[in-house]
Amino acid sequence: MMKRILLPALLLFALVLSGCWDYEEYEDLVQVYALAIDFNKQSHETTVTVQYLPTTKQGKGGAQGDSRSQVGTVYSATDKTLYEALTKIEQVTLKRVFFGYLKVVIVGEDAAKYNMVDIIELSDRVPSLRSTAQIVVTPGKAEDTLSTFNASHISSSGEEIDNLLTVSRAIGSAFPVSILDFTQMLAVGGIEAVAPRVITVSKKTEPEAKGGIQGNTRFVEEREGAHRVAGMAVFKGDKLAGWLNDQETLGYGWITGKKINTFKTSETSDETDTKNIFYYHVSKSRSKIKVIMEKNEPLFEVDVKIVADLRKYYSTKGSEFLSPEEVELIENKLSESIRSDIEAALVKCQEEFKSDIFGFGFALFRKNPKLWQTEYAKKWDDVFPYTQVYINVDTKVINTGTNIRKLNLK
Amino acid sequence: MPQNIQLTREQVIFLSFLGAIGNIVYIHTWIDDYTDRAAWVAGLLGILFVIPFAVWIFYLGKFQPQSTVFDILERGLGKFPNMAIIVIFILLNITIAVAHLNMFTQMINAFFLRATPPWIIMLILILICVMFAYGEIKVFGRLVEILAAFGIVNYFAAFIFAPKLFHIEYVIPVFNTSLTGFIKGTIFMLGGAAEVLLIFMVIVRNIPDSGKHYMWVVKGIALSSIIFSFAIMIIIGIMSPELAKRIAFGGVNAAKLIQVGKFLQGLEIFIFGTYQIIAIGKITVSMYCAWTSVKKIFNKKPLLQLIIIALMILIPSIWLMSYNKAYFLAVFLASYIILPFSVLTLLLASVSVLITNKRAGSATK
Repeated sequence: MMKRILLPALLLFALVLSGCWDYEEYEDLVQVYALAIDFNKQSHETTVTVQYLPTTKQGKGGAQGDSRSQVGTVYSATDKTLYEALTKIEQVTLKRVFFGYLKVVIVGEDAAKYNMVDIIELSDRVPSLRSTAQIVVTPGKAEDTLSTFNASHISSSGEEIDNLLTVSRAIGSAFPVSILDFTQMLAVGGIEAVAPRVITVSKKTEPEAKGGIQGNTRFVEEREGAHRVAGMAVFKGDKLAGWLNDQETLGYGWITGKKINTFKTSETSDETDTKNIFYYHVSKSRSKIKVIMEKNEPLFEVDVKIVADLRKYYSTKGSEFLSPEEVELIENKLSESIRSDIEAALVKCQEEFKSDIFGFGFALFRKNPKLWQTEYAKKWDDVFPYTQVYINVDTKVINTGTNIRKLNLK
Repeated sequence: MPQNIQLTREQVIFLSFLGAIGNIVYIHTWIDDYTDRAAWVAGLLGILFVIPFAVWIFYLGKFQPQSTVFDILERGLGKFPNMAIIVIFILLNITIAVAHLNMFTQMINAFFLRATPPWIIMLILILICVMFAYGEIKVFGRLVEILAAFGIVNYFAAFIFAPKLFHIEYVIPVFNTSLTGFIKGTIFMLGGAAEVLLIFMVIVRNIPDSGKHYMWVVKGIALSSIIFSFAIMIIIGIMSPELAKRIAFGGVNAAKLIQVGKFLQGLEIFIFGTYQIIAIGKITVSMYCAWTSVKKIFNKKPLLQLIIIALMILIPSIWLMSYNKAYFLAVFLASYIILPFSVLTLLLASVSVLITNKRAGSATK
């Protein structure tokens, strides 16, 4: 009888005990929403900036605090390593830094050039940090980007960047990359990493944070400004190689088959007369990379399929009726424009960055794993810049908006 | 002679299912360097290849019903050779449980209970397992049915939203590895899944007419091979083969990435449930096997024996206290020990059956 009582009692005792150690109040944690990482290549020091949403305990009347306190507090600390800097932040906040709600990691330009692996290691090994958080790269300092807030928005800068990333994907101005995606691009053969670029437009001129500074830890006063997510940062291995502009970013999107839902013009890089360009709204886009082996050399064919609507016809010329023949011309113009985007992206990546962000190497691996493993895996960096890529753009304009005739002025 | 408690078809199927999926839920990444994208196929085949050995045990049970493999050994080969094998069997079960307990505890520690001392988690698990093992095979058989059902439900709950993150290009082409690498990986998985054979060596006595009911075990092992290999495929498809080979807690790592809109971030809690069920089931089974074998040597004070077995699992686990060490211990067992020991035992048991039959023949003459 004693045995039967003793065993469940012991079990219950043990269960009760285990609850104590991990008990933590939500308010006692620094719930990091956004993390910015900078690297000083001279001093080899890392600056970590965290933005967290204050979780102060409510008073009797349910006091909410001032409006700025709702959009996040920004702290920054510099030290030799990322963890030492984080420890300094904990010393100031007197709370444990918790990454479970992290949404965005902003990487400064120098950190992207010299310290990317450390950043990925952090996200890859810390169990509470979710690899689904977005990664963005900023020209200049990430700290400045995070400490810039948009006064017309009620959200924190981290949240704003997170929302901007969602919009940018649809319009093709940049393509969100999670930490997981980025790590995959670093690890998988035949593809190089990219990350969206975030640009800060600051309202004020003073570049330095106005907050109090003590040693290398500081409370960063947020400055008014705005963010723009546009373009992509291109990596070669784990190092930032350069940036893609808006057109090249779209080109990257067309090649890699991103679902783009944006406005597009028929303008190509050699066109100057803006009056006679067409406007379109791209509603569907997809692509396929084909590998063709010719004389034992891999060639690539990019088939892009686009569905769009017409949004503006010629201003001064053109046919009266938008007949099927005319629609074909409209389609060809859009195809040319898209081809121009693709070529711009290819030229930049093949000639300047020598970085296969499109995954042509990966497509070759999938087509012929043995050939890739035995021959191309090691020399792909040398082969890619000279690889021939054929572009086929198949455009379908399914309607010409609300009218099928041109506008005739009296 | 008192009749042994007989297990039902469902209980045997679910015992096979839980038995085959033991330490391999953690150490399956070991084969990724050999098998690469074909890891899930190696997992599927490796587990399926355990079937002939399991059927072998069931077939042996036909000659001496209501007996464990060790009873068969004793009758043919005598008490002392059998005792030597039993001692190895007990130590093997304890080592398997130590490795599993360590890996599972470290998983809880890494993801959920960071501040709780791992020995407390180990103690709780061991207490739960002692309770289940003490309930003997009838209670445990019923429990396994419930555990396995919950485990499968949790598994599907975690992975139901996986297709959104799934990249088919990470899975196809499947075979980008050498044949020797693939065979090596398959053999390793066979060695890992062979843990189930240790269970059958004992519970074969509880299976009614085991020679006829071999399909029960075929179904159970086939079920575990499908579910396990499917999980590896999902992990590879979500994470890429390159990242999947690095991860410590396969399913939990993958389920952590699954999102349902912006509201639900990570479904690891479900797959954690499956891991927990596997851990409790596996450690209890190992404890039960070791305990049953000890009872065969010292036939008195069974509760004390069970507590000693539990301490023999708990103390080395606390002493080891490392995921990495436990991982390599489990890899070592799967690579070199479990399958060779099982095959040797079954060969000896077969010889023993022949000897017993011969003796019986001579006696009749």
